[in-house]
Amino acid sequence: MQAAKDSFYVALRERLAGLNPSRTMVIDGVTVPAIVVRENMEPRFVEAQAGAFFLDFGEILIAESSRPMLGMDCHIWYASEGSGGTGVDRGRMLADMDGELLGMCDPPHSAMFDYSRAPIEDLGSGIFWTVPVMNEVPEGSPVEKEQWSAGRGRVARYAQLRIYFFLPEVEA
Amino acid sequence: MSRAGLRPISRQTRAYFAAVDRANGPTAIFDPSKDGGFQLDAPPSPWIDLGWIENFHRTTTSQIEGLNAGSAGAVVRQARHALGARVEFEFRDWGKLQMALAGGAEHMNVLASDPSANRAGSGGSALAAVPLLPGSTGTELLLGAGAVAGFRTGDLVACDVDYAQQVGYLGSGVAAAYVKNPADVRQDANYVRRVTFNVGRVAFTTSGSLVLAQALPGGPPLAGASIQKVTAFVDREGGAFLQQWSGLFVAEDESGGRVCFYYPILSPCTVRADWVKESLVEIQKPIGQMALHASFISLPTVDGNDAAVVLSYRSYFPASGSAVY
Repeated sequence: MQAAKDSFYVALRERLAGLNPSRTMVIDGVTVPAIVVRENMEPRFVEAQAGAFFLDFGEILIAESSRPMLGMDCHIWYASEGSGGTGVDRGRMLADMDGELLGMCDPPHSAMFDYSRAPIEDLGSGIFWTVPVMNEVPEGSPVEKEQWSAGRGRVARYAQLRIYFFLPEVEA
Repeated sequence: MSRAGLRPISRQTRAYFAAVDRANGPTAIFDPSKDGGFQLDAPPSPWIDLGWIENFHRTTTSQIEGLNAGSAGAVVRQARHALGARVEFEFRDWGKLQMALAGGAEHMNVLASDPSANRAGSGGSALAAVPLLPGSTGTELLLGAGAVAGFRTGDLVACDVDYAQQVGYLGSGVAAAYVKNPADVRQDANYVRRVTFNVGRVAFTTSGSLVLAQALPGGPPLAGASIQKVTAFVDREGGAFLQQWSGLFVAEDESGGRVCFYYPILSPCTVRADWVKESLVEIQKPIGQMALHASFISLPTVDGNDAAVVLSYRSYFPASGSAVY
């Protein structure tokens, strides 16, 4: 399970670094690509920032039972406040992030690795996911809408997709 | 050893085609020992990427029957006969090659014509061709300073030799038509350029050349070649020519191994009485995407490794780390 989460995140992070090297954020003094999994962050850093992608993993379902294939929901939050103080380009900057998200998600698959081992282990199958559905931030979402919309000075997006993967198993 | 990688997962299929030498057979052999792991956006030469396709179906009509003998009438031998295979799918991209393959017959480049020229369903009498200078390549056409002024960025151009009243296959690099009698094509010097696959779009012009956005499918221009502007493409219901191409189809490997289907020779074939040529794939009413239906029969070739007569090859490249069986 954790291997699928980690593999998805690492795939998107590496792709973002290639698509837009300047989209970075600073966490605890370290500059990193501006995409994070919030459950992996210290609570003091989880507050949403404009200009970065925040991933949350959601429900897990059994997609096929004959050989366990799981589907795991993923929510991706991002927002823009524009640049230069006036914020008049916040829509354009959000559109840039829309494009980056679509770019990160294509191709919609990646190899699955166990990042908890050293060296990292190739698990012999892949993860694959649906095309993200990109909505406005819904009511009752895990993150308070006000935090994202911040009045009219911030525009936000809430993208959803589902990641599929086989549970690693050992039979030989 | 993980068994998860034994299940290929795929949601779409990519199509690649390569020209067949009509005299000597396929020139593009998909060799799984060399070509298996290629990047789908960068196929090995001479395969041409024709994009993602939908509703890909492979069928076989080959029969394996038992031969009965003896008092019990039991099967004592088996025999394979009626070797046959077909492929059907839909192109979602429209282009010169996609139309030609879906149409199956001669595919016409509509050459720019003079406003006063005669009218014809595949284009009237063409404006004069512009000869290429020596040194032109598959991506850069040398014209000289004066002639290049007649072309602009974005123009489509057809590039090939003049028709010299010969009988046989026409078209540089790719057989595009077959002429039985020069009178059939009105001895038109432009006829080769009407059908050639050597068509490109001008990415930009230099002081004396046109630089193309994509390489000419038939390769560098032959000596004596000329170019003409193309305004559209036309295929026709009818015609005497049948396209022949090698086909390679790759199921995108999302998890597990990669599966490739290689057909040395595909020729157009429709087997249903009411074959639908194109359809509208609904996006949201009333918006739809036009899909080009294509259908082929596979022609036999001989595998040099064991002299077997074969129609197609299915290659499987196991996922790294997966079990073998």
